[in-house]
Amino acid sequence: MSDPQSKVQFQDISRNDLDRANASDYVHQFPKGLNKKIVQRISENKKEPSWMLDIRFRALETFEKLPLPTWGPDLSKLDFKNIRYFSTASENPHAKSWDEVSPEIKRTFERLRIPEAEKAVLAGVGAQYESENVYHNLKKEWDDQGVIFEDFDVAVQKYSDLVRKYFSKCVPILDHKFAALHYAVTSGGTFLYVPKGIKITQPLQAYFRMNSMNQGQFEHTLIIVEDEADAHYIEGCSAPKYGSQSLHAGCVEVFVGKGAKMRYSSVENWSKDTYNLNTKRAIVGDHGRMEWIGGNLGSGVTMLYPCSILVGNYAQADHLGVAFANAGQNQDTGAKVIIHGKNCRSKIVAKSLSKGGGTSTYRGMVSVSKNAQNAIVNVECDALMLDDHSLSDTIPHIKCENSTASITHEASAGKISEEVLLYFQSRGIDEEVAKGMIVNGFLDEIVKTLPLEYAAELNRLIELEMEGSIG
Amino acid sequence: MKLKNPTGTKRIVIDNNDVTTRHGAPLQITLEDFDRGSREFNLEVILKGENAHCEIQGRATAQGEDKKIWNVKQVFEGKNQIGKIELRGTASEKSFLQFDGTAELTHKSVDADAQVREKIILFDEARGKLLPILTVKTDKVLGASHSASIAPVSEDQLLYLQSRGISQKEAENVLREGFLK
Repeated sequence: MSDPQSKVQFQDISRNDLDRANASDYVHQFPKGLNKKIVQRISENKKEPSWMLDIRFRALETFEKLPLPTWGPDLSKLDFKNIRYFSTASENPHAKSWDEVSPEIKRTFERLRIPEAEKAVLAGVGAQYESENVYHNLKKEWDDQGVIFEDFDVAVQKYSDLVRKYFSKCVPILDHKFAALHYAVTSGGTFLYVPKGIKITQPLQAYFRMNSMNQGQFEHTLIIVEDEADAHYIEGCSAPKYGSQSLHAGCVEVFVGKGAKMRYSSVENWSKDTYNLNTKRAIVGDHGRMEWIGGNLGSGVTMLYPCSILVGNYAQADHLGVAFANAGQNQDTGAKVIIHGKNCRSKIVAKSLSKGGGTSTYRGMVSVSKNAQNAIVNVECDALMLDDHSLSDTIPHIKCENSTASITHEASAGKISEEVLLYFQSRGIDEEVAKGMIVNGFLDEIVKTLPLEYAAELNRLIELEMEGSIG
Repeated sequence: MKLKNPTGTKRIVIDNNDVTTRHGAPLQITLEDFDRGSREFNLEVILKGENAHCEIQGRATAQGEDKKIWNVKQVFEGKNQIGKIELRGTASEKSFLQFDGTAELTHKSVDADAQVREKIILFDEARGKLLPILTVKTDKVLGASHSASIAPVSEDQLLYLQSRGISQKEAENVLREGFLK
């Protein structure tokens, strides 16, 4: 599936590629701040059906009423009035060929090796720049089998009934303040529909890029995997560093049918100015299987807790995550698993690293409800602290209302063992290189689940963080 | 120190001047609550002196409509300290049992060895909640780990006892007692 060249694809990515902004001519750049008029203009810009506008208005009202959370990282400095909620930079959005994409935007994605990866190893690609998809394509063989992989804005028009049936049914508008904000200003994103029995053998990818200062990105990803189907979706993202806030409040809704399997991998690498307040949730049916695999490296403040709700019997959810908090970062991540069905299983592995005064927190919730017989849940969290300024917290909530459940949790926090370091150094390996290798070993369990190219990217990004050249 | 049916809030500071632990002898705190009733108990132990060593063993049963909540915390503020929290409980009938165990390693702590272990066995329609928290503000840690589990009583062990003529209720009692020793 992958040729030898692609193995070195990400080796020479430098932080510059990600942090440097593009000079772009903007087609639309709405004024900063949020009010009913802006929401209306967003809807008009997309020529949406009226049911979408209704949802937006209800969401805006809810957003204004709900308070900020009183737990977790400090969000009080986030200035909602100083964020731009909508901009588009492309004359030809939703292009189906890279030739149709404007040159400067195309260059951004080329630097990130997206078009190359698409040819070689992906079934389809969506590329979003600011508030809009600039490119979205699916290989013909999957299109022929009835797979729908489309830019969300286009799907709202083209598959209106199907979208309306599922939209906001997994993550409700009232769920929390940032879900409400999301529904008010959502733009762009992906719609993926996999028909019964279809197993997509190559991953589908979406890449999100914020480019201008104080930009917000609110893409919506809606994935429906019908009975016995199988898909793997990968999401990557980045934004340049300006020294001024930007906000990401996206939302991912996944519906996993009977006997279906969905793997959702994501490597999140927003700049350190970004507040990443994303919501990801899946509802899993009988014998269904959901896998969340995530790397959180960027963002100044992250609050992200992928959630699996196992409603079917024999449903399964696996969560694998790594979070790296460097200087000035507060990564507050975790996993939520809520079990309603019988004989469900879940495994959660969370690894976190902290360095340079960064704070890394695992905040999890395992909840087994009254009628959920024979649930088995294992949670493993490990925290590695790379120097003496860093902070690490583990706060796993475990709630059980059924006496047949078996829930176990183990966690440890510590630093790189002196003995192990000495072992490497006594064999001529430099201390920094040794630390890098040990960190890779620590993360191995998660990295090996990613397709080779993304494993290489994740390794490279971690190397960059370890170098300490990041501000 | 043994506390029976503890309730309310208690704070203990282990300092070379206050409660002395010499030559690594641990301060043992035993918490026990096997009686009917609903109680909420908060315990905070601050380890200040060098080489302070504290082991907290808690055993609780909740029955009927009992609601029991224990919040036990050890705060590490010095060098070479050892702290262990082990909380075990069973809940049966319609009761509710909650254990919140926290190990807090402050930036003043050096080479701490912290362990938090929480285990609940549930019977009938009882409910349980566990929250083992680990807060670490230093990298000079000897070991900081915690584990928690909620499980049903072992089917195999129940069958073993029942196959020797012991009724299910009696077998559950025997296993409960063994677990809480």
